[in-house]
Amino acid sequence: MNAKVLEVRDLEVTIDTPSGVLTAIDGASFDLREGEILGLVGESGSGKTLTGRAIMRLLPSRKMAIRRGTVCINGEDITQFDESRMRGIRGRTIGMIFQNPSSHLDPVMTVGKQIAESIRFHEGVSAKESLSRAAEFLRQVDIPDPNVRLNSFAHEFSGGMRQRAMIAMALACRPKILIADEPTTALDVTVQAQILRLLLDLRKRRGLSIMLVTHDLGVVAQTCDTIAVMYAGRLVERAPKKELLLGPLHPYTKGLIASQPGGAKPRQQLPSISGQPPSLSSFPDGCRFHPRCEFSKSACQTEIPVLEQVEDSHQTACLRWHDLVRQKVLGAA
Amino acid sequence: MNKTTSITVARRRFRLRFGGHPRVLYAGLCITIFWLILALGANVISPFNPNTQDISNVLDPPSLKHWFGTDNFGRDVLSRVIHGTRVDLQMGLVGVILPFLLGTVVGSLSGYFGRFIDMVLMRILDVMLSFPWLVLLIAIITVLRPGLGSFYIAITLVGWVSYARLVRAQTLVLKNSDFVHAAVNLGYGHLRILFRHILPNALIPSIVFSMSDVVLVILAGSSISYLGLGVQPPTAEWGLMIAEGQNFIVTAWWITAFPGLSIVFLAFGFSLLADGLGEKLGVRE
Amino acid sequence: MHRFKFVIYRPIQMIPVLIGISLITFILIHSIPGDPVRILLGPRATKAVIEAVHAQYGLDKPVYIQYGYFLKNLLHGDMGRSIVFKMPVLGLISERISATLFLLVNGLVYALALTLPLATIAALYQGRIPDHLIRLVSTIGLGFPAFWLGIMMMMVFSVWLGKFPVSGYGRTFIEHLHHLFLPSLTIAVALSAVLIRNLRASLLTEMDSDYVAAVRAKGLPESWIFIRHVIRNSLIPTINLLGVNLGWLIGGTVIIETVFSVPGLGSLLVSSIFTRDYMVVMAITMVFACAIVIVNFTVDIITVALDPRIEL
Repeated sequence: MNAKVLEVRDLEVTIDTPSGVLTAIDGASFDLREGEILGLVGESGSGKTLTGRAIMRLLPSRKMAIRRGTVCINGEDITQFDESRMRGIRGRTIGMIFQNPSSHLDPVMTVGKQIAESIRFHEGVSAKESLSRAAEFLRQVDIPDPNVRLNSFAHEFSGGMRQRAMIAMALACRPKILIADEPTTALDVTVQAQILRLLLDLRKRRGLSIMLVTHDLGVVAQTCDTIAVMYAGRLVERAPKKELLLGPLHPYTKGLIASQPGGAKPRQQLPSISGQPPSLSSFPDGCRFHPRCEFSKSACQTEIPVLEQVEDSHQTACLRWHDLVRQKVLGAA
Repeated sequence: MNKTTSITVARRRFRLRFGGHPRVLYAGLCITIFWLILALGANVISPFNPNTQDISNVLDPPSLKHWFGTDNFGRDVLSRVIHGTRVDLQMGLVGVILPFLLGTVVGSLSGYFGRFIDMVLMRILDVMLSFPWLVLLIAIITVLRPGLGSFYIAITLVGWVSYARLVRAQTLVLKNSDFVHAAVNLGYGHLRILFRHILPNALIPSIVFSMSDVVLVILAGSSISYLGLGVQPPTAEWGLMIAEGQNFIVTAWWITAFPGLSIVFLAFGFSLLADGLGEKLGVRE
Repeated sequence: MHRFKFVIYRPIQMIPVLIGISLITFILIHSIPGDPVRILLGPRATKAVIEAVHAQYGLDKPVYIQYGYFLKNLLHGDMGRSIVFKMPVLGLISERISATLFLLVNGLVYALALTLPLATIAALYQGRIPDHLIRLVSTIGLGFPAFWLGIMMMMVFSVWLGKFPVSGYGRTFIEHLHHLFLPSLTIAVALSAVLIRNLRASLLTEMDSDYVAAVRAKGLPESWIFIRHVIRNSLIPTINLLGVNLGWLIGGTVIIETVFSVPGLGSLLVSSIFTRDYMVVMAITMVFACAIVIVNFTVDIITVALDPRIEL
């Protein structure tokens, strides 16, 4: 098995609000191996985007903080780094691409210059040299006519091209790890497929390790090796893709998969998970999913399930996972 | 069909957000209320009659008897400042309400009915906004006779433009919202929709703007009076007092200092109100 | 450069506005109580002259024809005569305009010198003491009447400290700077109060935006981000803001010129009211309005040059 490039242990992120200090991410732990594509899946508000931001130490608000936990890259815990050391990591070791490429590109600077600026800063080359290298990155992300496109502005690109440009921008720093925060959510379906294929290609060509954050199971099914599921700030299940999708061992994952449009039989009502995800200020005690869970028993209301190894590299945080195994074996719907 | 239920439910309500810093709003309120009390109770609060001249005590520096000193006619400066509050506060309020009303009517009608009326209005707005505000005021007052009444007329003729613009913009947006479509489908008359459904929501930016407009109007009014085109002597008004005291600036600085500080402080109160309201109602400049 | 084709369109669009300005000015002139010719010529004009002027301005004809004469005269550079100075108004204006221009530009320069650093500091130290202080001072500054500020400045710097002249304009460039230092500073302080608040808000908006987060994710330092991204994006709304506040700036100039007795258009405007030199008043008003139209046009050009997103 490949070496671990990113190790997250017990990550806890809090938000300081007028109604008190709330925990947005509660003890998340997972690994990313070299060349692996890990999918972090969850609904909005599950904390998945925040996890990516926390790893980059780019939390969106001053009121948020990493209270506990470690994030180790190549053995070093970056949560202990001061800001200037962290800046050395960002871009060069770990990069990030964002959900909405239109708002994440500077509207008054040419795309070429935006890609070139990381090259200029990190590698100390001249402006001219950095621009020609930027063209090379544009080519790598399959943007036609890269030399011409260097002088274009973001608003002159289509949505898919903007996302490619953003990927080029992130790649220009030559990171080993890439965090992709909902890279396809704002794009058309056809363009989505292209971008995902690009990511897979980049993994193969450059040995990138990618953490793909998304709410879309279809996306992870296409691209990821491993899938980790988040709910209400906690990691609830983690397994290699096939095992998770074919044999989920957490009721939430099960519900997610069942509610995918492709799964229902004709003339059957599309199943969905009843209820709403809880808000930050009113997380249920015990297992946070229990109010919506068809398997919940009284213990689920008080005991917090911990992520435990169930099978070979399959982990789940559910007190009643054996019942789910039984269902899988018996083939119940 | 129960008229009251469907549309009152559909009417969009803005919710006051209670986050942020209400202290700015409260500070502004306190200061404004202070001035309001001073203005309303001027006759009771001021120690002297503002117009009583006392030739033996001309140009006295601030003392226990005359907290703000006396001016070149021996009049008590403190009393004149307190009475001046009535005039300046009145200028600020009246000078905002009149343009507010005129501008709102014109802007909402133009935004709602659109097309020709709107085009004409936009042209007028463009032209009027090209004139420097104060200069146009001065030009209009030149035509009428200098005085407080002329000031009010002039400021109404000049100031309605900002409100018309704000209300028109909001009306254009709200015209296309769902609750308006619902009202139209229910067969409500245009004017009713405009005044009972659109306006309450459209007025929010105008109300926030009006607070900072009060500051502008008070400054304009005192400037006009300073120039001799507004309030006439012997009325106590801060701008006028500053003009009268300017000749004695070297020997009797208090005649100009205190009215000026009052303008600053009154304006400060309204500026805080504007900021506080703006934060609370989620409106930006 | 197809984006700049509006350089041709906009002047055409400006024409209705300029016509509107002349129309309003005409209405104002027409509203002055009394015989307009007497107003033009003063109380000592003879009957013959009055009749000649009546003919020249078409005052016996209907109003709209009078307006036509008015426009025609305007286009020939004839804005009437000053009864006080006994010369064409146009000549009077061109004599006095340089002082006003100097004051305006000087004031603007000082205002920018004050605004740029203070707004930047406030934005960089957001939420901390320097920010609160700057915001407090600029909010208080909003309420300072320009005339009072000018008087206070005069008292402190001219009278007590004796460093600057109380009035006038001087003859050489250096003397201009010296004489106009206090008036320009007064304008600058008043204008800065507004500009600082707005520029600070612009800077904060940009600093908080998505693309800045993306640049941070590339590991670039804050100073680089501020200079190469934030400032350039904040520049556009700020320049627009200057254009919007121009009317305010001119109004302030009128008052400051009066306070400091600067021989410019503003003090001429005010004195002409009291000498009943009405044509001067209206002509200066119109000149100011046209100047604003032209400046707004210039601001538009600059905005298009700076912002690649705009297509006109």
